[in-house]
Amino acid sequence: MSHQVMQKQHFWTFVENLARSHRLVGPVAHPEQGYAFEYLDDRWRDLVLDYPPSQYPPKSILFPRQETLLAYSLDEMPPRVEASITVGPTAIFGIHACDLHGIRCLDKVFADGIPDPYYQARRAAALLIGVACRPDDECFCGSMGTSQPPEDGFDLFLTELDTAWLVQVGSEKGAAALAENAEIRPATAEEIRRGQERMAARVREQKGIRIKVEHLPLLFGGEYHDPIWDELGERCISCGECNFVCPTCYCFDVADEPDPAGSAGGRRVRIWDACQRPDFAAVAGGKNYRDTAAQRNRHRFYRKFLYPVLKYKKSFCVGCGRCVRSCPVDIQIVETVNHFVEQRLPGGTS
Amino acid sequence: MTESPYVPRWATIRHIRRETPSVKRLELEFEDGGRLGHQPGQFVEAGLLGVGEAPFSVSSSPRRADSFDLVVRAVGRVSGRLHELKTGDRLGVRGPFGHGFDLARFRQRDVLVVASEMGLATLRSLIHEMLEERLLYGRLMILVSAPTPEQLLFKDELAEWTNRRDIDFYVTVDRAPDREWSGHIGVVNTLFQKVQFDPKQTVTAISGPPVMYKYALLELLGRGVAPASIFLTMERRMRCGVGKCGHCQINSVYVCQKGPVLSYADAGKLEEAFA
Repeated sequence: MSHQVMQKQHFWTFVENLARSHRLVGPVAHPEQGYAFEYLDDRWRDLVLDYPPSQYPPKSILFPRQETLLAYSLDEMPPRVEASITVGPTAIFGIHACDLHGIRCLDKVFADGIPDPYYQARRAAALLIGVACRPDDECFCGSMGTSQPPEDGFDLFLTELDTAWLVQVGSEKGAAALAENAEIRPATAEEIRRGQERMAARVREQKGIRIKVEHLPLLFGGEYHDPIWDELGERCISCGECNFVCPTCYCFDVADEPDPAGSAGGRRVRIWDACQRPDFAAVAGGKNYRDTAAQRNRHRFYRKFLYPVLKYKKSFCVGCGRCVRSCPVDIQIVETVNHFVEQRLPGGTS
Repeated sequence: MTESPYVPRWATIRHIRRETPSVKRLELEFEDGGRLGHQPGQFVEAGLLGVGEAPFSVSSSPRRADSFDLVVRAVGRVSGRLHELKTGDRLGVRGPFGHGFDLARFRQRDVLVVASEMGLATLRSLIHEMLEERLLYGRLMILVSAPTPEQLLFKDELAEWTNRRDIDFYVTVDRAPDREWSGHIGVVNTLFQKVQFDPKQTVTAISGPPVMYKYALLELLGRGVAPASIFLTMERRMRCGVGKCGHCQINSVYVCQKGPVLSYADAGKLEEAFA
């Protein structure tokens, strides 16, 4: 797809125009709490594009923390059940490349087997507008192959040049949104080269896993009984925050929420759940199939670095570093993977 | 939006039978008049709006067109509420989900069924299927166990199976506190001594609590039954039934999709399967 250039002075007009046909979402700054993806509505001037990794990825826009699966009313018999979501066009601004890869992972999961119409409706309504990032010390996207936007996983991607945005067009939908709402011109080869150089410069100093992503299954195939799981398990307090902040974690629980007493209605909802929480694998009657924090930590690593690599040919760790930033007991992800690399493949394969 | 996999079908309770002090058998029929259309070993999500859903294996023969059985042990919130329902009450059912027993693997072979406690609720649909097409199968051996005589499921049918000449049927209880039990006492493995079978010609179906699997597998593998001829049902906490929520995962396997019936050739490779 093409590269275009939008002068910075035209950017806010583009946003304003887009707001006529889309609900806008993007990162906004919160004093002392960093950046969060929020519905902007008439606050679209709060949108920030140059920002460090947000505490939570934009996943909640496509897969809300809590979502109604069914609305029901017990007034009639049989009960009336409504299973529909209303979602209009939504433009999500400011998605970093790693988070676009995270959305690609969720796309695969929710399309697999019996598809999930809730996610797919939100996803189909979304216009994904990425932006080149500002990595911090915990980022390791360079080694995960996620520092560039996924080829088939975005609509527009912005990279800052001096007085303009270089706009990479990733889809027909992106091209149309741009043509209808923005003042643009085709980028020159020199501008494209400068944009790519800026992206590359941002990941050059990063830490990283010392193994190629496609070799991860070889590594994790043999580390099931490593004592490191017990070490992690002893430190882990099973809070599940690493799951909640992860752009590719998608596990959930299903619960019923009856309306307050006196009403015959309510909702069946799904709520984010976390495989690190103690009772995640417990069954009725009390048996817990992942009883220890060591087992649960291992499960999380395997669900990022092994199982999906075999199934989807894609790592479900996208190198965003959020699980490390949010961990109250400093459980490291890059260092853990590299410990295995040192043990089994000294020097690594990358 | 395409159709949601979370919308239940309404089923009415046609008959309730108390199996044990904590277990009830619900016979259900769909209000839309349709069939469940399940394979032996598959499960459904059943529940009530405002309360929730829980997974239950389907206990009746797939050949019974107009109704199906769920066997409910009162252990949780949902199952507790299902126990309060009366004949004519309505519940929501989704499914059937997952993969059941591959009957092609059982036909023309001798079949050994090992069912412990609630495992018989799961295996009853397979047993009924085989009894209804009895000539398609070789010898049929059924071993059943429960902690006490009172906790045996389907007592009426067990009596019938005892009397059938085309079943080698054995039942045992772990203990018989009321002394009115004249049958075998001991865990289900003690019944293996009673049956002689050709390990090359025999396919086995096992369902029961985790500890039973360990001993039954030792016995069967020790006798030379091939891992690919041993089928087990895996109990996990299936919340969504459609391979998404993650609760039923055993290593990389979503039990609600690939299971709940797995061969030991597959399950044996999964470190978490018999944890």
